[in-house]
Amino acid sequence: MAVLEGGRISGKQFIALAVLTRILAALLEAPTISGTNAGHDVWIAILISTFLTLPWVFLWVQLAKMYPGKTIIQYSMDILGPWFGRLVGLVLIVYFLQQSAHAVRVAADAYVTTIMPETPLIVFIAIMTALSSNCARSGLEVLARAADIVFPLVMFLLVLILVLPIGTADPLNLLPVAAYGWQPIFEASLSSFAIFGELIVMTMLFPYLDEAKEANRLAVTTVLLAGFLFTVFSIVVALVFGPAMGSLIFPAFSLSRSIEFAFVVERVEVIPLVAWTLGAGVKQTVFLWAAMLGIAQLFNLSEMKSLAYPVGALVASFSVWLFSTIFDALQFYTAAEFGPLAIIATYVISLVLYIGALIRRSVRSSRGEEARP
Amino acid sequence: MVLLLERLWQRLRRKKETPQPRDFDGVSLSELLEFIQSQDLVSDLKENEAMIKQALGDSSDLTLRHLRFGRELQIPVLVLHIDGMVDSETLMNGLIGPILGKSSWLSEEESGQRLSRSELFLLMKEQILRNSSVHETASLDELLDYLVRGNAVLLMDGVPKALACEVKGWAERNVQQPTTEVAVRGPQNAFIENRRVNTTLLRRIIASPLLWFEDFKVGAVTNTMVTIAYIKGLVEDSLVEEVRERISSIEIDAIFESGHIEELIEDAPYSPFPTILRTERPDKVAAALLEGRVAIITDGTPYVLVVPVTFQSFLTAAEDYYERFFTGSVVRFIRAVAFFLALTLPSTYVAVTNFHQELLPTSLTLSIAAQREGVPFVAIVEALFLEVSFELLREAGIRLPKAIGPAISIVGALILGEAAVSAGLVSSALVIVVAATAIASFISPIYSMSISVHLLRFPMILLAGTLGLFGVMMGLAAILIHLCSVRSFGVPYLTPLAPAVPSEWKDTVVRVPMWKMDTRPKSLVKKEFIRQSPRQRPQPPEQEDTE
Repeated sequence: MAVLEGGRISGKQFIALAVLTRILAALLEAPTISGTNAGHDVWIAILISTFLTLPWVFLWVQLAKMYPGKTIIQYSMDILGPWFGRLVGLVLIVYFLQQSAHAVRVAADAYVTTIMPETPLIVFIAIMTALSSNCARSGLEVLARAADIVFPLVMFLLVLILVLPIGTADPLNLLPVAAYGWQPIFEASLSSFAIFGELIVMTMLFPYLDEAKEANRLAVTTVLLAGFLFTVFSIVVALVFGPAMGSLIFPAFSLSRSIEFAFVVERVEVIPLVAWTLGAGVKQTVFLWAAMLGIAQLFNLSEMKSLAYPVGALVASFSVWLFSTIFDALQFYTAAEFGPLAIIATYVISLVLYIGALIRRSVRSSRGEEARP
Repeated sequence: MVLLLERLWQRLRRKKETPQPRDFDGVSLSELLEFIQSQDLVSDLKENEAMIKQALGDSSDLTLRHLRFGRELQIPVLVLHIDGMVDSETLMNGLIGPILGKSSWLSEEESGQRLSRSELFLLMKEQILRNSSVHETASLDELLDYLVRGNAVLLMDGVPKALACEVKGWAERNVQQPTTEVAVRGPQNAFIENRRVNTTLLRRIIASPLLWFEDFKVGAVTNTMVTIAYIKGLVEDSLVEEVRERISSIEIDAIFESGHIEELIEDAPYSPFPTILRTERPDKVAAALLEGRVAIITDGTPYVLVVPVTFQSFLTAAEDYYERFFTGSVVRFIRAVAFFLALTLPSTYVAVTNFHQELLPTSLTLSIAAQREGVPFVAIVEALFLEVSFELLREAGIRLPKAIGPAISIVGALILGEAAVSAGLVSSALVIVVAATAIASFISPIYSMSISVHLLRFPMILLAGTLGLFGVMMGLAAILIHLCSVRSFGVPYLTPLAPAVPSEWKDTVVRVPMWKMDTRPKSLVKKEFIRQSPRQRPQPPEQEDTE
């Protein structure tokens, strides 16, 4: 069977891809994590969820080490057998498609809700999906290089909008801590933990790393970097907006709106917005590419390029159909809606796969056979 | 009376000599070439002469000189050359003189030995001819090739071989200043149309025996000589092999300019961005060779190709390196900004004034609104109209005769610009934007890149007019994705930005001082990338403690 994806990505590119995937939706929607009551303590929730995710990242790296050169779709078929493995693969593919649709929906809705309300939503979705499918079609290396360029830009703008509004910040907004007790914070951390599960896309990227032994270091760096940035972001939002932050739809947008600098630099919210669109495009493309690869591996296809536009069209229709309003998209990961299912689709499946892999390995070594598949 | 009769007789005879149909009429080019290639020289001089005359169609510039060699032997010898392509002094003194002069007369002993014709031929080649380079050939094809390249060909009766002697001399341009890549500081010579002069210019800069040249003949009819140059030991052998392969596999009838070769061997033929660098400056080519690249020199054009190149090479001018690092870095940064502006300025203007007025300071918004008050067109139509008229002006300006050029440009600038604004067709802010874009677009030293980017602004304006800054960003994203997917002879186009190679950033984003540029690009040179020792920073001499 011909090689589906011949590209190789470097460590830096891996971090760029994974952190952009994690950060983007975060900037545009959370940290209000609408539907939870954590309020200004949400940064604690995010910090907790970051550390909750770490063991699972180790688990993913371990799985990748046990099955080098294979993506999660491939080794789930090895571990659980052809039928259950395929079922698990299918679940993951649907998850990836959903994530992709979510990314593009939130980005497109950001435009429609804020600065261009008269343009139909489908225009933004169509254009972004067309570009994204084109990029996914060109392969992983092109996507990685694009991320390499987009990542510093997004980080720079992020730092800018975190630093510039400090003038309007009020440190008392962070107090009192846990005014309503710790339960809302734990609920929020569970929702955040559920979203962190999207990093399972790393397992699709591990086989294509330049240097496979770097995987551990890179994965941990990604989680810590993303978590740290996210935490700082929530702190700044809480500082600047205080109790009003619960009603913000797009906190990052509101942050950039509050920047006033001399008489010239004001109302500059468009600039961060369009830059984040690039980052959202990267996230959308990563999941689109992962879904394409998964489908090709699941059904033993000979090449995956031709899947780009059809799967892209699928993502576009998902993004319109799954979420009827922006609030649906934003509240998608709360416990009330998809949160628990997300946890199952990512963490529980990973645990099952890991245990299965361990069992297989011990069975094989006890039977005296040689290396595992 | 007798004279009259003679003249009458001659006139009658001339009428009988009707022009004969030339040989080879009705035969196609490829058949002719095949026929010529299959012929070999024979021993009989007259037959050889007839073959050559037939192949060249007895062209009026073919000059024959019949000689006799040897005082006693009197062997018929024929010297042919193409008039206008040889230096008569060299021909006379190096070739014809020695054959006719006393030195060619054989000694009594030698003529007594009765040397055979082929031995005499060898004698002529090795002892008598004085030219600096003499080649021997037995096929008609090679002989004709030497002949049309300006060599003089010598045939001896009784020997089925010919000698081609170096006597080249024809009219051509002197080495002058570059026309398109003028540098404020640095060497002011540029390549010319002669391949040998060009390779010499390179050798003058790189006086190393490891600068190797390889020749190729490209073009079935033009037989253009193409030379590739590289520094052995620095360049990757696989790269040289790839260049060799691509050039040898060109099957075309004519190559006039290196641009033809560029289009036939490039990696991304449909991309608006060039993947092969074209330059007139020897110092630029020499610098590229020292970075592990390969140069392709084409006879007949002063533009030399350099492969592989990255996006960065198109924004670099030679004098970035001749000035000190501070100037070099700042100018490089300005160039990058100008490049970006050339692409996005008109579209950003259209997007901001149409969709995102809040980005402008209030007074500026009011002023622009006031200017646009009387303009009947939508902003996007106005912008396209001005940009298209600028393109017309630019293209026409290239072909203006020098005499009326300045007058027309004054007309264009003052009257058209001013009048258009007064007539209310366009707003003056837009005129400024278009002018700024035009100036910014000529900042790239390489024409092929600057013109591609300049033309890409049209789709960007359309996107901006329909979707505002989102459209601009999507246009930039599309260009970015395209750039990420382009490779030039295996090297990703956006190296060292993507894939990020930090060790190369010291020559990309800024230009670090000469004493810090100690490595060669890793993407091109895998074996030897330390180029200078680390302790090069100039330091003031140690201070003496006491006077």
